[in-house]
Amino acid sequence: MGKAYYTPEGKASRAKPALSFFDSDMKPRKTVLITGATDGIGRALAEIYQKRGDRTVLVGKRALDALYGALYRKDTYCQADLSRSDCADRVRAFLNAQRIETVDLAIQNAGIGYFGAIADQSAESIREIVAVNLIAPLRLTHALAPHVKKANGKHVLIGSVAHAFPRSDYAVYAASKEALRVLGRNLRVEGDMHVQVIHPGATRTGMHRKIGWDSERAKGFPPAERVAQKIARAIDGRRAVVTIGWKNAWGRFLGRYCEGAINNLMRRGTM
Amino acid sequence: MKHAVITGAAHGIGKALAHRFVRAGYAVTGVDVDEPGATIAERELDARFVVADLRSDAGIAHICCELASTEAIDVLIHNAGINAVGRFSDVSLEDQAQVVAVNFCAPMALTAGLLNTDRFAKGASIVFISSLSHYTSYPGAATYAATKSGLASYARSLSVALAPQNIHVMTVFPGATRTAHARRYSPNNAREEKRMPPETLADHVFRGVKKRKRLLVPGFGNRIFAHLGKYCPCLMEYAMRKVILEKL
Repeated sequence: MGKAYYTPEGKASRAKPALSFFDSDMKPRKTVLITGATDGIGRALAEIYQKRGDRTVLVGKRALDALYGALYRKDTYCQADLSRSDCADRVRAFLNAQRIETVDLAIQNAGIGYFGAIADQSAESIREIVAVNLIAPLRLTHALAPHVKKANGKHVLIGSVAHAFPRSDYAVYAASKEALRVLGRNLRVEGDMHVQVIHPGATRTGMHRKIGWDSERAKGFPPAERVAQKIARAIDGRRAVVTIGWKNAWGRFLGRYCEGAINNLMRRGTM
Repeated sequence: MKHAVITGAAHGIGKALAHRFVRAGYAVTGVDVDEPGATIAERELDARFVVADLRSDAGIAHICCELASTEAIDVLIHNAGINAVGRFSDVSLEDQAQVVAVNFCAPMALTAGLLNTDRFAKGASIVFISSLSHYTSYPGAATYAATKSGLASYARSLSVALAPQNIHVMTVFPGATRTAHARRYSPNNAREEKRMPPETLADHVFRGVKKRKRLLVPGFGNRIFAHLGKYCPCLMEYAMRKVILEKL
């Protein structure tokens, strides 16, 4: 039997439909902006979208000279320190300089952490984590909203399953991710923009090394490339909140709905 | 004499809390940024006030410094909070950054600073005033809701981390309260008398501290809202959109 094609009315027909602009080879290139794209999940995401032929705008803290690989070029890499208040202006200036008017996907992936006792964390460290993990997404969502709206695109916030559990050794990180989750939720309810929140679990990235976390345990985590594949697939889908990996999804569910029991278990663990 | 420290104590819920704790025989230290308000409250309450700006690290350091020479703290209440309402794109970024600084960074920095210098008495309580929006969502104040939920998450981590030291951590999720703050930020004040009076809320908080409760949703109606928001989030989100966002 030959291949059947379906007309828009749902009737099967033998004739091949005329190619529309979208499914031809001249698929319009999407513009994908990724923050924190020099390492870990951000870098892996950048590679995925580059491979798909999309135009990438990569935002990172490091200077362009310090980066290697074909990903980072003058016309794709925007250097901006997200802990500073001028980060959104820098990104906007870069988009203007590259004549980019629309952004289909704004993936806010950058995040930093701190590992250690709550009492030992300084006010500066707290402020820096909140600046990168929460205030920078606020700034960039403001700055990119017109670009994303023009493309009828989507804001993607990368959270973490850490928000669903009490974390005595990285409390501020978990709190900032919880704040990000709720920000995404309320923006979605407001209904002005498409917002998706994606919660990956623990991933083998440079973050653990940077914050001085036990790197032996980090070796058991899934690699950033695999997690990024799943994130890209989730971004293609339509669900507003996605947890990466079924174990993480169950963990998040338990952490939220059996809050008291989980807290008691962890309390006993710290005693 | 037991010692209670309350931030944002010159007005609203903070003032009611200060009254409640003074009445129970506590020595109260209030913290507020509003100097004239603090002077009035100081006279009215017979409490000590520290005038400091919670938005800056200098302000936090000033509070820690002032509290270094007092007796150990038995109750610390993170009550100070500000809001910025409107659709996300309409609210200025600077206002939102300030909301984050006061509602989110300040309590965390102050707690860490006071823990670091070991200012808490044995069996002390730390109270975080979050918001019912943690359960119900709050369109029209996305940043405010984000900071309040972040605070609840921090309190949850803290309650586990401080369990070995026997420091009690309580998170309070108040709904609409009859304060000037609520009047300023809500779209419709016609049913203001339905809101919980701050004195009632302060009473709930005081009793919660005594019973060493960990989570407190004061008021029967608020508890129903919290359960609905937790188990039927879509329903509450729809309702909040109708009740708040479309009237802004």
